[in-house]
Amino acid sequence: MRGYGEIPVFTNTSLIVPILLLAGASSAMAQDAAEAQAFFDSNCVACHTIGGGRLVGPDLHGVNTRQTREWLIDFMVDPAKVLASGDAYAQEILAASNQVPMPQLPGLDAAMAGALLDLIAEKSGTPIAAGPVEEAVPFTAADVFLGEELFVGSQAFMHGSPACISCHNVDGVGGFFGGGNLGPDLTEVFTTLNGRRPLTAWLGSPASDTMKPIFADAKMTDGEINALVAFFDAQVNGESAADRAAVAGTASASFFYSGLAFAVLILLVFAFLWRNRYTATRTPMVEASKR
Amino acid sequence: MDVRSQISMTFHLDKCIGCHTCSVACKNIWTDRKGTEYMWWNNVETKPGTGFPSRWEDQDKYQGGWELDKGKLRLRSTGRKRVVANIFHNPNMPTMDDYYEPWTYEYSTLFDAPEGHDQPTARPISMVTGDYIDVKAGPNFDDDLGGSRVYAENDVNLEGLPEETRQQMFEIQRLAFFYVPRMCNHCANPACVASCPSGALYKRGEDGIVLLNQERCRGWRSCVPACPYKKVYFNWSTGKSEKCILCYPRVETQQPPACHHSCVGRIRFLGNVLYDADKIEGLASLPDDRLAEAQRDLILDPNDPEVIAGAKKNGIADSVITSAQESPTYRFVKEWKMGLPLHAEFRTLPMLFYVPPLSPVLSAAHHGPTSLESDELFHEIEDARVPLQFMASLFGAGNTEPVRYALRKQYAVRMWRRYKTVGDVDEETAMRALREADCNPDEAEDIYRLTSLANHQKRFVIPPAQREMAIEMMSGDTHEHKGSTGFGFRQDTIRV
Repeated sequence: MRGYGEIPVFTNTSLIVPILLLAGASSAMAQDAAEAQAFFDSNCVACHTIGGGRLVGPDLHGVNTRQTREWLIDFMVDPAKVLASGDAYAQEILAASNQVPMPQLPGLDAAMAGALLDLIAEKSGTPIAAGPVEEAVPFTAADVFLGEELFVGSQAFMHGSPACISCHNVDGVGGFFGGGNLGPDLTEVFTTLNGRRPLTAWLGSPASDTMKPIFADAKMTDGEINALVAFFDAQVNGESAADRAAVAGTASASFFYSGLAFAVLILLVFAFLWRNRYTATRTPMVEASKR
Repeated sequence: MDVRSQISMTFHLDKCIGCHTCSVACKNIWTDRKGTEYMWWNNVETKPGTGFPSRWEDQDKYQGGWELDKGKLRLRSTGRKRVVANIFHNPNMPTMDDYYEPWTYEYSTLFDAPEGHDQPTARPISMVTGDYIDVKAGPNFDDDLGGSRVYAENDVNLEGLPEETRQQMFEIQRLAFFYVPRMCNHCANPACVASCPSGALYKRGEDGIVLLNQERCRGWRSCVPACPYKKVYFNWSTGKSEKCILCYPRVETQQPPACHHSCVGRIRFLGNVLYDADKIEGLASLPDDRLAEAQRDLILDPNDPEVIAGAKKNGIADSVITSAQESPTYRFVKEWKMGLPLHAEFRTLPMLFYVPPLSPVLSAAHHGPTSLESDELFHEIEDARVPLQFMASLFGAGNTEPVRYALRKQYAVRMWRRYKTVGDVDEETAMRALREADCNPDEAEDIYRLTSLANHQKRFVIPPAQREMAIEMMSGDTHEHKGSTGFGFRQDTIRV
């Protein structure tokens, strides 16, 4: 996804510092740009491109001309606040993004937002590359199968990322207990996140508060992401999608009721094991003597 | 041979008058605090009776002590698996009903009550709820109720007795009871120590006092059911268990424990004995009927040069060995074989011994003045009002032989002294009684002197604590504890 490397990218701060000291004020701009590029690459690319077309979020090519700079900075720093204010343009973006709101990103303060806008403005100066669009290789059954194995954890991720099922549910997957409830339900994530390319981009650099720290040091490989996307695709477009729809919600319901039954069972077991706990000695002794 | 020294007690039950002074002395010093209201580190029970907590001897309920499992000793109350199963709740704990609901009195009414026709009274108030209560149970509610249907008839020791014997015990003119003061036995094979998951309970090396480290206790309460004598108590306020400390701050300064010191009947004797720690497991694993007598084998002769050499090898000071040679417990238990452990079948090897009591003489009213049932001056042991079997259940682990021996000897000493001082028993009868009791005039005199005439120094032979040596051994700096007598919680025990 990093095909926009015309500007040198300094990700190594130990390099940046001596350059900054030597080159003075003009390099300060270069350093801001470098930081902004690094931030963009690790956060924004999950949902956005600059001139690469729409992913989950809009293409940011020329975004600086669509709204005022103040509005954009406000929105970037705290999207939830702007959305809550009922701003019409913000609602429009939300609707266009399948109601997936932009998350609030740690480290994205007003200064960084400004630097990012500068970066985007600069990149928007070059026209959209009209190169040939890469043809996506169609998913195979093997991809879907591997995706499911990765999702439920029977196949481990190469870099040690946790299995999806520990936090996420996909209806009909994971047997009786289904998946976790900590993260959102992923049954229809393929549709929600706008299809193959955005979903692939998102998984390449998960941007949510919860997933980001977990996957920062345990990135999934391209092959694994491809398999997972294939698996998510099959949930919506596959042959068994209709069957899946039929069992929607049953996993979490059965999980709840089995949990309840288990709790009752445990209580009964301990009630039996400790059945003598309140049997007194003295009172029965006194009562017996009165008879 | 692994020679160790243990402070060991002997209670002469023939002398106990059941006044509870020991209990009150202990209560006032140690358990007059928040959280210890219901605790009686020392209590006095009437036998037959149910004791405190109710029917504590019933190990089917309380699961205390050790049992033999395929020849191996095993705690009844807990084990590796049961520790996990009972981690949040121990099912064999005595409840408040088994102890009692502690109470105080509303003394202020005595001063504040408005003027009226009647004397104001101080009503009992529960120390648990703070409400007025009808007191239904207390730590000594079986006191003097030797014939009571509630208390006496529920005595656990009656269970093995034939119905006829039980009936006899409660016949109006045969009725008899005696007292058993109880405290921590500072056992040689303590179940409480074995059960503690935190390692808070320990048996002190220098004198065998079993102590509970308040800083290490984590409130698991394994010790409460594990102790078959129910002498470890849980303090609800600090969240930790507590038990008798044998007044170690007093003992370390050569004073007898408060319960011993205050005993008006002078029934209590205290002195250290040397014992062989290598024998503990073997002796505790013997069949029930041999346990009571076998426990004497644990105690070594402090005059035997081999034992003295072994003691010195283990670092026991000369003064401690000398003290063991003068120990009254050694005489009662080992020399005279009169002292017996209480409920040896719990297999904890209690180091508190009891001299079983003789019963009052039998008498009956025959349409007129009361007369003696027997022509003998003192009753024969077999005809005692309290059946030998009942005594054997308490002091012989079911075996009547050691109890009969101890009682016969007391009987013989009485005959001997009667011959010497009153003269209504002739020499021949007295000598025959001595012979039958495996006794001789010299020994009878010794028993008589220690039982009846012994002064404070003779009754309490307390070995010097040698704290300075212990401190030197531990830290090398004797000045560290200068100015202290060894007592004092260094940290507050309040739960944080």
